[in-house]
Amino acid sequence: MILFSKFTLPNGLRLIVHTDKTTPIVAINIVYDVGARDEVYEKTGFAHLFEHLMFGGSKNIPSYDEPLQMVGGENNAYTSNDLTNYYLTLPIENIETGLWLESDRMNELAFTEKSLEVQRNVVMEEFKQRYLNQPYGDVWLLFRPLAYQVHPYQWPTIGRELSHIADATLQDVKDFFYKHYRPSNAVMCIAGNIEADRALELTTKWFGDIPAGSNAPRNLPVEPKQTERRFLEVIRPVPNDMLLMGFHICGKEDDNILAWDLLSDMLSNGNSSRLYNALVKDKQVFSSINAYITGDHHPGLMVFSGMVLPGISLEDAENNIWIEIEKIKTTAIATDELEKVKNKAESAMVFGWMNILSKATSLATYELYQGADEINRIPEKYIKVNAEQIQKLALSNLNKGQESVLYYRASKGE
Amino acid sequence: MPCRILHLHIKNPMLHQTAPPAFPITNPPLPEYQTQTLPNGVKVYSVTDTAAEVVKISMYFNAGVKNNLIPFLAGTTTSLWKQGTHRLSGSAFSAAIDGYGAYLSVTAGTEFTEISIHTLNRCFAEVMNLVLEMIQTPAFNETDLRIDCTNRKQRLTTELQKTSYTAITNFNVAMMGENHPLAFIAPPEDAEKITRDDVVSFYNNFLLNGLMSVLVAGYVTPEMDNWFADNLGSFNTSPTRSIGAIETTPTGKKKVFIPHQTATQSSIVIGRPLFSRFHPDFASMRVVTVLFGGYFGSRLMSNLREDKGYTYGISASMNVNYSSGQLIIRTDVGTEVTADAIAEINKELLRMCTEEVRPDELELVKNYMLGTYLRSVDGALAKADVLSRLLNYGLTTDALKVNIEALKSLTPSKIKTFSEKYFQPQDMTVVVSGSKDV
Repeated sequence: MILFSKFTLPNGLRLIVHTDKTTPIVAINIVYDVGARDEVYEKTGFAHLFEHLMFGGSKNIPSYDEPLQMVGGENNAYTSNDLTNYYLTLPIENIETGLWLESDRMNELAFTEKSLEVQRNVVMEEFKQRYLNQPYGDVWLLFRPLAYQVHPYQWPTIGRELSHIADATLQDVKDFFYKHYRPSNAVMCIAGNIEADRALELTTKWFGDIPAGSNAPRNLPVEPKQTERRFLEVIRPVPNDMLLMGFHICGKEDDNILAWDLLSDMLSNGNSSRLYNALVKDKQVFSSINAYITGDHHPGLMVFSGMVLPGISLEDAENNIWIEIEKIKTTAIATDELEKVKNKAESAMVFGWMNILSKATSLATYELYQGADEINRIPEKYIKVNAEQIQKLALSNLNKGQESVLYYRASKGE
Repeated sequence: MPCRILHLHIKNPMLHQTAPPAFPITNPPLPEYQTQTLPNGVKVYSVTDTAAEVVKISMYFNAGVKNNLIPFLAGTTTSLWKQGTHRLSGSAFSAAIDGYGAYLSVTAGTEFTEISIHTLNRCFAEVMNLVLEMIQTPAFNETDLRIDCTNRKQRLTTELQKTSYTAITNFNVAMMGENHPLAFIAPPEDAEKITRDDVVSFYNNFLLNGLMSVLVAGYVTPEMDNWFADNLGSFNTSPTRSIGAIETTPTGKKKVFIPHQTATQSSIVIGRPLFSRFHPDFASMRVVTVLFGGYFGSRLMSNLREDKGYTYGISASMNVNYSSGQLIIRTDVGTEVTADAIAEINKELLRMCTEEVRPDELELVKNYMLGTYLRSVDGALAKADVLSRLLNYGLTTDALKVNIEALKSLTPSKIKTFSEKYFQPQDMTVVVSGSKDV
């Protein structure tokens, strides 16, 4: 159970306060309701590029990092397909420095050509480092457009191609800021040794006079139901074959998501999981295999991904995954097995809360969509998941004709 | 939960123009812990946090990659260790541990092997009894070993394609010599040469009697203390458990190039041999290294990322262990700017040796590092991590005081003196992995 208070400023900024008297530091986490899904097909990678620009100075503060470091703080940010998250931690005595920095850049960015030019280069190097200069690095660049035909989840946050980043203009940057970076589009969580009233007072002081702006309506195309097998095969200079398979499932707010989560744990969490025992140990098809859900806001994917051992064909490897999927559908799930994954989910959640920043991040991201109260309902919801529900989901979503499959074949040499 | 809509309105356009007052971090707290010494000398340290009824137990054994006489042996042994006992098959053992919602991992670090267990308090005894069974009667099953070796070989073949991997491994060879256990570059095929006898002898020689200490963090109860006393106090522990220095023999090479035909970036590693964890310069050099390349506003990040846009990230750090250490500067840059990036790194090294840092830059680094220290002791798990890096080396929290004192007393002129000693560009070895030699 995480206790918190919840407020909304007149300009629409939502504030969550969690008081923890045991820590010398305070965490401030701001999520903006904007991600790669808000980009258009011809200009992808922009939400993430913009995140970099948020550190290039704001109206009254030429550099974001220096004043924060000067008072013992540290910060970072990430962009997902759904949202953009900025977070910092600093000694509680200096909380106002953090609020000053965050409120000034929420109010107005500096928008300089130099910052844009440098960050374009930095992000292009990030693109290369993560997606191009790594064996298997382009897997998700290939797989997303296979699994999604119309929904913007078809591109990764880094963007579809380097040129989109290279072509970004300062006008694009300004438009994006005023459209998405408004208080009404944000949730802030303050967590640490601070009472709710004091946190509210300080938030009002620093953020209260930022103009509300208007919330941009979001009309994202709905991904149509997949009714045919989608298949892509590529050959790359990597040492081993890799297989990726995905099925459409529900979004994060759907109650079935916890059942999907537990199913993915049954399949591949730890050395007692099904896929590990059947396909790594008994049949030796894969050197490693994983099943997981993407956990997106809009309907996401259940993904199977495995490194195939030499001498095993990709077709064989895929068949073996189908065999395991059939077992889920046709054989009753033992109570022990379900209890096991529920226990693991419970302890993972409790251990995750032993750090002030992770509590702040969870509260802010939950508040953005489902309301922060949802966090405290999750343990009970996990308990309620039953074997029939899991089996029913597998029967309805994990069938032939609903799969997207990528064969990532190894060529010889580098 | 209360949810209120507020109707406050504050108009103060001047507010944002000046920074709020900054308060110095005056008395950073040291992590507190209890010590229990068992009859056989094993120490049980505990860090208590009663917020949630969970606990993390870390058991440290005096053996790690430093004891690798055969490539990959420590990693293979620790991987096999948790795959079944005389009584339980690998999958039955894992199912039992997982059934309690516990997470078990066994890792061979540079100097120590760690068994770590995350468990709910209500399952503590059941989980720990299984771990005890694992420690004392591992199966080391031949089939499991062969699978483990094959899969390890496959992982290594993938690693070898990464420029970042070949750069750092070749750098380690240059620093420590190709026969040093921390710098082996064995071909992936060697992963398959390990036999069951090798594994069993590594376990018998180093792990079976190698338990040194236990670090417990979370909701620690008297029942837990009793469990440790009853079950670990009679463990056989080797009387001569000296950690022992391993001689490093740097190759002396100043330039190494590893070709990767299709790479779009070059991985660069630049550095030199330093000293061990116990060297008197360690505490001050931590600060100098952070200023140079250890935080977002560092000299290297400001120049190569934020000014030039050559890279997504660049860092300088010290890798120090019981008997040796290195200064390591790492970055991945676009192939076409490889030479420029190396030139800029050298320029920054030289600047450290020739110009005193500005007092405000030093003050920023000091404050930042004090904040980093506070973050490092936030929560019982974080405190335990900090303590593990002290207690297993025979240090106490006094070493943290030494670090903090060194931080506070550092001056621009002292930094220049340290830089002249350790940051001379001509003393560096430069390793480049990529598609173009420079």
